[in-house]
Amino acid sequence: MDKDCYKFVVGQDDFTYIFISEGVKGKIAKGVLISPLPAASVYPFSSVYNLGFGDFVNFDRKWIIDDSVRSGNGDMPKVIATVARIAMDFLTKNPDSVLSFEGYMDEKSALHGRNHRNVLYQRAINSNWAELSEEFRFWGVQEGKFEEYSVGTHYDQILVGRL
Amino acid sequence: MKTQMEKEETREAMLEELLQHREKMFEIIRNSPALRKRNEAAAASLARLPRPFPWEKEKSEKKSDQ
Repeated sequence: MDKDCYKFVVGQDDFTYIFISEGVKGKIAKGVLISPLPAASVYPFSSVYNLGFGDFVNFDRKWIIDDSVRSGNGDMPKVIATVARIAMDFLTKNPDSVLSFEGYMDEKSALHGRNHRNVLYQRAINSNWAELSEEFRFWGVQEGKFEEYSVGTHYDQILVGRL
Repeated sequence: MKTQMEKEETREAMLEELLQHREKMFEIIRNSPALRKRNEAAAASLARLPRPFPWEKEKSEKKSDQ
């Protein structure tokens, strides 16, 4: 997973990350936020976090994070590999946690009935499966049901924890 | 009217300025309404799934074995 990633910076809180994509459109700053999901009272030991990310976009002279934008910087595989690396970094520091990630369902994805970003996440996972599956455990959600992650199956939501 | 190239130069200059203030960037991420919304959507998706989740079941079984 280290093969083609951007360097990233971690915030002091360990839940925020920044990296810079460099491609055909120049530099684009990306922000990643890992935030806790509410725990069920019967399973208080279950720490599930969501990973979200987007571009820093200047809107009306104010910087915001836009997670719906298609950057078009020609480096999507490298961006996804970096986000995956960030997820691994978080799970290494928080080994009892589980991370959930689900790509933004944009118009194009909705039209094709398939979450394009999830396809890219899964491509990154599948192409590094031998290495990743030694350290991490993956689950996929399909049609409202959990299953052990299986390479080649498309999932609506992906969850990962340390072995 | 600014040309596309001028707009791009302005954007790059503003970005370089932003990159000088890392803490501000982290704050923007933490306070992002879009990412908060994404978190809420993920929470709603998980809430629809039957508990226990696979890892909860395993942890629960491990605890009862101890």
